[in-house]
Amino acid sequence: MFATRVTSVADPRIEITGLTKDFAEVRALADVSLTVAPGEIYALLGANGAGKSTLMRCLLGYLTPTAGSAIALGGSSRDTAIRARMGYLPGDLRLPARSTVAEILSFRSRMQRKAARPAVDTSQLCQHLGIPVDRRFGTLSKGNRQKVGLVLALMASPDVLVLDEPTSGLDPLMQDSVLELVRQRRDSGAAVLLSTHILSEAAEVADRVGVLSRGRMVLQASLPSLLEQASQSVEFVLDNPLPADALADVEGLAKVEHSPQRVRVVVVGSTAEVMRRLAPFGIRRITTDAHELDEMFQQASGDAP
Amino acid sequence: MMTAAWTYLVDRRRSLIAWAVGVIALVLVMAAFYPSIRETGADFDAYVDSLPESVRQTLGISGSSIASPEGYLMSQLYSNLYPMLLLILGISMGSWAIAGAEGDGTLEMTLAAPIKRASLAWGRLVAVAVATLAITALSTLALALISPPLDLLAGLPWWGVWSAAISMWALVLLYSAAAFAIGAATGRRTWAIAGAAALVVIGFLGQLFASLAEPLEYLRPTSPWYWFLGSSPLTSGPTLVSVGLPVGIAITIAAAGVWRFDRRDVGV
Repeated sequence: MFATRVTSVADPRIEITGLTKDFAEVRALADVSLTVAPGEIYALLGANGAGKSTLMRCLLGYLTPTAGSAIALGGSSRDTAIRARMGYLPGDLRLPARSTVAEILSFRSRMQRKAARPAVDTSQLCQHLGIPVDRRFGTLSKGNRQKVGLVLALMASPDVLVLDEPTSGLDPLMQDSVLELVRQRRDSGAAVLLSTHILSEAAEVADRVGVLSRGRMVLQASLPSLLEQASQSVEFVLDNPLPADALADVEGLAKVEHSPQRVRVVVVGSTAEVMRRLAPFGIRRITTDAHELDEMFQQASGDAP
Repeated sequence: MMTAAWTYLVDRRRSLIAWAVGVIALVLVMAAFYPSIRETGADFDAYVDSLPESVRQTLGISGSSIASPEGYLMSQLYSNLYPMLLLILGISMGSWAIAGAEGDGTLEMTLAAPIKRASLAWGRLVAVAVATLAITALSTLALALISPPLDLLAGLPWWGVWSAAISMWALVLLYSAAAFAIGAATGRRTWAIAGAAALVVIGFLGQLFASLAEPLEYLRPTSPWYWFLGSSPLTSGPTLVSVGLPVGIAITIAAAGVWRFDRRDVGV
């Protein structure tokens, strides 16, 4: 139903071309291509096992592609000069349990210095996120561990930021805080590739999204164009009864359910025309269903071979 | 590389202190028993004399009385729990360096830092070498300090225990490097521990059986245990065979492990 649209980017910070990865008999990724430009957040959506983490691990150089390439900043992320300009937060963050947060940050800071890409002062960020730096990592809560991972990912002021489910385990307030940090990084010119299975999160921060299903890229689009393709379910409560043909021939109208003073419509694209037609009858209340992306995501995932 | 080595040691500082205390305690206890063995030396010697020469060689007491400082140290310390404890430490650290870290997931974030895989791997092997060397040196220092009132080093050159220590450390480094290399090449800590432990047992039993069965005698010099125990380290000093050979082989197999680690998928 939805066409895969590969947006070409003039000077991409991340360039994945025809990426295929096999594990023995299992094809984890099949001919996946995407690009992420400077100052762009690309959200990778997909169910568990869709291949999101595998794609990121190929980009980070942990896995060697079976075919195709995964390039960051014009080269391999195995190159320490390139790696020094990248930040990474894995989905399942593990750090030495017996080391204190300060020791973990200090190790990373020394490595950054050696790679001629000194780390920023992390004390303010740790304070902002409420991280107890003197505690051993193993004694931290899941949320605090995730925050330490985020500080590690951000401490090099990275030009490429790769985040695998960055808000996992965080409370809603902290989720907002983390997404704001990601946006700030984007605004300062970094290319951000993040994976999530929370669609509202992707809708909130992403400039473009891609949907992976069973190792294949089944949908790729900018967020505005995706929302244009998305259907919205909207219910209107009116002051006056509505004639049966009031919404006839409205473009994009997929479904109308209607009682004298209550109308439920499913619209693809803008609802502006529907509202214009209903306005004379006195709109008292509007209720929208916010799960339109969910539907697209499920449909796209289901369409995969 | 040095940052990786230092971090590996700092992460393990508490357990390394515990290991050092344990090994030093073992050495002191064994040394403290020497006077009672010396006093009943004739009985022990009679028993030892009844053993085949090959077994005596295996136990490190060939040619010297068990009541003598050399006989006692070689049979009760250097052929016994002392190298075994250090081997357990070295194999444990060597197998964890890459494979253990990969298994518990911490390697992924370590490699997220701008460090080459080879630098990280070599750094961690250096940490294993330094940790085992430091504990060997501290326990040898404890032995040297407690020995004068016990007459445990009487008749031996002052450098004797240090020569034995460096030869024993070379043996420990060899097997630790084997654990490291198997772990780096495969990413499986169980395989690393099992492989290195198997090599320890084959080396020890191999030289024992080779000493008992004359047709197999020619195999004896292939055992690293023979390079250590058969070189009379307390009196002959460190030799190319007792130190140079195991260290050389350790570096070679570690290099093979690092080469493979640098080329394989990580965290699969």
